[in-house]
This record gives sequence, C-alpha cells and structure tokens, in this order.
Amino acid sequence: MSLPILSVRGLKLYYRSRKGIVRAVDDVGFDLNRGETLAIVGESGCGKSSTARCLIRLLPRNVEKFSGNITIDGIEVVSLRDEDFNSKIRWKKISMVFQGALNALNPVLKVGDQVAEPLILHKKMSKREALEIAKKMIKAVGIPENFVNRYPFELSGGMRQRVVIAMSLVTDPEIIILDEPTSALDVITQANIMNMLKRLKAEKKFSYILITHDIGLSSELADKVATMYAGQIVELSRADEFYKEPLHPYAKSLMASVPTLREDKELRSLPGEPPSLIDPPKGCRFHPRCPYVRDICREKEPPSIDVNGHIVKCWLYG
Amino acid sequence: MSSTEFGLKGTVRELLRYKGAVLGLTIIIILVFISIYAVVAIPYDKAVEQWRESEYWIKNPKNAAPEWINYISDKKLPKSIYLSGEGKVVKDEGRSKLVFEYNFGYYYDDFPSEIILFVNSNVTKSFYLKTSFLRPDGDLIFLGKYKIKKGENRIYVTNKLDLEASLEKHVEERLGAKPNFSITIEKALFLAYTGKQEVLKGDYEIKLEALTNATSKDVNCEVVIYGKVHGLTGTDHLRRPLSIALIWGTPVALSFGITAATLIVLMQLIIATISAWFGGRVDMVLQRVTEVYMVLPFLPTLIMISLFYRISIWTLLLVVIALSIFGANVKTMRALAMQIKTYPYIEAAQAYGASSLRIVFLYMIPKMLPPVIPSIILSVPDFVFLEAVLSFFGLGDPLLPTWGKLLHDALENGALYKGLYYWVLEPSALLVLTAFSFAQIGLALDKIVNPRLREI
Repeated sequence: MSLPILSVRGLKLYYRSRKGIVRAVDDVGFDLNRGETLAIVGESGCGKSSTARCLIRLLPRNVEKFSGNITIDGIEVVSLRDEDFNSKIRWKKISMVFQGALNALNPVLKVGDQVAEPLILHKKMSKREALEIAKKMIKAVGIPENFVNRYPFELSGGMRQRVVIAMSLVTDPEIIILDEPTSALDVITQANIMNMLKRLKAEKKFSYILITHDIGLSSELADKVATMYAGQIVELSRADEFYKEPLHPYAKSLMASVPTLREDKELRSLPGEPPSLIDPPKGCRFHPRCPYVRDICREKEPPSIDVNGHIVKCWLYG
Repeated sequence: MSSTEFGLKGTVRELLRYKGAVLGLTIIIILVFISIYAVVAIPYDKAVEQWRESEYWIKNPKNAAPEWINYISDKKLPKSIYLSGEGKVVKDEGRSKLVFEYNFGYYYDDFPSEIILFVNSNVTKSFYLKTSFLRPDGDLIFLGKYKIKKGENRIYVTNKLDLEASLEKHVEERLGAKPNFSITIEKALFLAYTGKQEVLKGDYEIKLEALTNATSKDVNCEVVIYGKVHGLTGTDHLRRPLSIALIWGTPVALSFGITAATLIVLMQLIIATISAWFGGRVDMVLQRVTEVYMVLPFLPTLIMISLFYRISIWTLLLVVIALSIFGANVKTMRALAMQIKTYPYIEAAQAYGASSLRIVFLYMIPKMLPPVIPSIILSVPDFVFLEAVLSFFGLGDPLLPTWGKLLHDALENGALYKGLYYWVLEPSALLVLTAFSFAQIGLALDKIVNPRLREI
C-alpha cells in the first residue's frame, strides 16, 4: 500500500482561557489514504473542529500549545513557517468546507468572484482566468452557470453550500475537510449534497475528512470512522465494522442514540455531561459516564488497543 | 430576480419612491448645475478679482434690494436710470459750448439713492460744467458748476454739502414751512411739494453745459440715478451684486461639504476596521489616539488654526479632515467591525489564506459600507455649515466669496438693523436648502439600506 496522503501523530492543541488550559485536542493520531474518507464523529465540544483547525492551521490567538506531527503528502507541516504553509499547503493540498457554511460566504462578493478567490490567492491567477475556472467549478457542483453574478443572499441554503464546496475544490486539493457540511439544511438537500460529494470523490479521487455529529450522515460517505471523546480518539475503525458493531462504550451509546426506520428500537441517551476539557477526569476520560466502569478505569488511562485492526481505547479489551 | 435590483440602479429607483428624496435630489441637481455654471462662467480668478475690486461695480446702487421685491410690496422701488448720449455744439453769444440734455420719466414710489455724473474729457484744457435739473412742475434747479479736467471725472452730486443747504432752503420756500423730515439732495430733487414725503412722478430733464469749444467726440457724459433695487439678488455695501457670492458659494459649499463628509467617514471606517481587525497593540494605539482626539475641542482648535494662519479654504478642508478622522465615530464603527470580525465568512477567508489587508478592504469594509453611506450624506450639511460658520466669524478663505462671507458682511454692516433682510435671507436660504436636500436623501437612503427603519 502506498504512503497515506495524511498522517497525524500525537497531535496536541491546547488553548489558554481564564479558567485554565483547555486541552481541546490531546494526543490524536490517524492516517488517511488517497481517495479515502475519514468520518470524525462525537458530541459537541469534543475537539472535532479543533482537530480540523490544526490540519488547516487556522488557530485562534490564545493557543497555548500546538505540537505533534502532521504529514501531508510527505511534507511535515507543523514545523512549517506560516508563509510556506500558505504557499505550499493551504488550498493546494488541503482545503476546508466550513461549519455553518451558510454564513461562510462574503455577502458583498458575487458568487463567481467568491469561488475565484482561492485561485487568485494561491495560483496567482488574473481575475479573468480565475473566473473562468470558477464558472466551471460552479457548474460541476450543480449550480446553473448564470448564477455567477448573483450575491450569496440571492441563493438558497443548499446552493450556498454548493458554492462553499466549489470554493474548497476549485484549486484541486488532495484533502478536503468537511466540517458539518450539511447542518442547517433540510434532509432532501442534505441527500443531494452527499450524493454530489460522493460523485466528486469518485470522479476526482479526493480524500475527505468528514466532521459531523450526525452518525447517520457519516455512514453515507465514510470509509473509516474515528470517534472522539474529550479531545481524544477513543475508537478508530473501518466504517462497515464500526456501524455494525462499535466497541467502545461511548461509541456504543452513540449508536444507540441514532433512530432507525424499521426497527422498533428504544432510543437511549447518555447520562451525565461532557467532561471539562480544562480538568479532564483521571484515568479513562469516559469513566464517569461509562456503564461498564471498573476500578482500573478510574486510575489509569487506557492505551490504544488493536482488536483485529479495530483500534479502541478502553480497558474492556485490554 | 436579477442582481441589478440591488445595485446602484435599483437603489436609485427605490430612492425615487420617497417624495422627500425626489425633492432633495431635485434641489441638489439644481445646486450642481449652479456650481457648474459658476465654475464655467465666472472662473475662479475672475470671481476673486471682481469680488475684491470695488471700482468694478461703481455703476450699481449700494445696498439695493433684489428687483423682485417690487412684485411683493405695493411700494414700487426705483431701478437705476442710466442716461448717456452725445452732446450738441451750441453757439451762444459768440462762444461755443457743448450741451447734453437727458430726459427721463420717474414713476417710482421712492426716492433714488444717489446721483453721480461721469464725465470723460479728452480736452487738454480744463473747463466748467454747468448742471441743471428740470422737474415736471417746471421748477428749474441749478445743481452746481464743476471743473472738468482731462481724463475721467466723477461728480458725486448727492454728496455736495453746499448744494444740500441751498436745496433745503428751496424746499422750505416752496412748502412755506420747514418740513418735518430731513432733506437730502436726492429727496429734494424728486419731492412733491405736498408737505409729505412723496415722489413727484413725471418726466424730468437733466441739462449739462460744458463751457468748452471742444467737439462732441471729445467729451462723454453719463448720468446715473441710482435706484434702490438691483438685479436678481441685490447688492451689498460695496455695490457688489450678491449673486456673485451666492453662485460661487455653491460649488465651494458643495465641494467642501461632500469632500469633507466622504473622506472623513471613509477614513474613520478604515481606521476603525484596522483597529478592530489587528487588535492588540495596533488597536491600543489607535484607540488611545481616538480618545485624545475626542477630548480635543474641535471648533476652538479649528478657529485657533485659521486665526493664526489665515488659511485658504482647501487648507482648511485638510485641517478639518485631519481633526475629524479620529472622531467618536471610530468607536462605534470599531464596535461594528468587532462584530463582523467574528462572522464565519471572515474565518473562512482566513482559512483559504486571504491576507489581512484583503480581509479589511474586501471583506469587512464593504460589509460595513451600506449603513455608513447615509451617515456620509447626512453629515454633508454639517460641513457646509462649518465652512459658513468659519466664514461668518471672518476666519474663512480670505479671497473666495462664499455664503458664510455674505453673512459676515451682513452682520458687520448691520444689515438687519438697516432692514436689508435680503442680504441675510438669501445666503441663509441656500444654506438651509442644501442641508434640507441632503437630509432628505440621507433619511430616505437610511430607510432603504437599514431595513429596520423601513415603513411597510
């Protein structure tokens, strides 16, 4: 097998806050192969978006610590200077579709100009050239070409989402981070967009990182699933195995909370609150909410255990 | 749905739905036409020269009201009467003389303000000019004998004290009693002998006899009987028609107001956005500077500067802009920018690597512009007034005629005390009209770009 397009090892991102240091991403690692989709699932505030921000290097001002290894297409990027990251990696290798994409468009730029922006910035194209390519891209995501001269507020939510996706694809990157790409859209539009993403992936061999709290949605696209809890990946496995039988107690309860159409299943929620990232629980971070908790869970942090290629961070399998 | 709906065209179309805005726009268009006319018809140098050269207007009456006043009041005020023509050579007892006879009808309800004789002589030897005045009632009044030298001679008939004394006696004789009003020369000449201050209407004649044997080509005479109304706008104490200052004041006021308002608001916007975007030390420095500027008293500082340096209006404009760009507006705009800074699209722009300057100028400022444009338009009158106030205090441009300068002259010459209301009302009306038109457009635009204010 060839080298993975993206490889993350020991990634840490800590923020400073008034109450203390927030460990938003704490020792995260995974690999992503070319043409593969990794879904990162987890509840709100578990560090999914922070992980994405590390990859695209969109860090807030109050960063306390940013360390680990991120290798994109053979280039180690954490130690890269900002200018080099801008010129070599950003949007050339890795791009991002934003959370709340409905507001991710500049309201005073026409759609065409908006999609052309990354080309002007990264490929140093003239405005006219960039606009030509932007037009093609807009067509490729299923928007009529004559929409290029419209302003974002003249577009429906689904169309705006398509524009944002077009903007992330226009420079032909290897990896696309989709941060909640379809939240705030109705289900039919969601389905349309997911189908479009699938088609684009098949056509152009993109690698996706799909960040979502919607497990049902993630199953549409994912080849691999990473479950995050309190800044850590607690389970990383192939999608077909994960959806059939999750191993980690947290992943199990996540699956149990997803409604299904035919079965008459009782939905279960998880008691307790998400843990504080400033002062995470000792031992296994999930232990205060875990139904299978044992003494060792309260004392020692579990290692990542490989169960037939299915990596899980839990003492149950140790 | 097309995007032109939201462009300039669409905004103008929507603007025209408001009656006030239509009115305001009409007034501004008229003012703009006046400005263009002013700049084209009376170039800057010419305007300044005419305004400062008092000789230029010698044939205009002083402090004359505008002519249209006659349509409003039932008392008909006199217009100026200009009498000129060639003289006739007359032989009298073997000596030749040049006689000028001028007939004119006088049917006004008020006395003229002044009479001046202009005599131009090419004769080397000086000679005497005998002047007489024949009234409709046959009364012949001798106006005096004046020595005429070679060149231009100007005889201020109504300023001769001895003539006034003799005319006073003459009137007393005719009336049989001392009149209960003071007699001036122009009054005595045109007075009906009824005991009241009334004008004798009818045909008058002025006769000038030049006691010289020169030909009619060598001596030119012009008699000007100055009225009390002149032109469309009237004149000031130096006989200058107010229209020069009114017309030239328009481009000055408009360009001053619009330039100041636009530049100041845009600069404030840029400063506020840079302050909000970069934060940290940049923000700290810009905000402290703003606070110092806010404490600085604007008008006294401005008055001090213009008093010390007697600056021209364009330097004044620069000073006004320099004193205003760090105004209190920077604070409110910064608050707006801080909010926009957190919008997802700004974060997205950062993600795809837009530079700080690109974000400030292409992402943040255009977004903040629509609510700011009405405030630009609404603040135009502020600066028009500011220029007028400074001119009114005598601190404006030393050369240019402007609206404020008219008001300044009016105040200095006691225009209201003397009842010369037109002198104050004309520039004031233009000031108010300008303010009104910009306010109307500004308010309507505010409703268009600020949907919360829109009436359903």
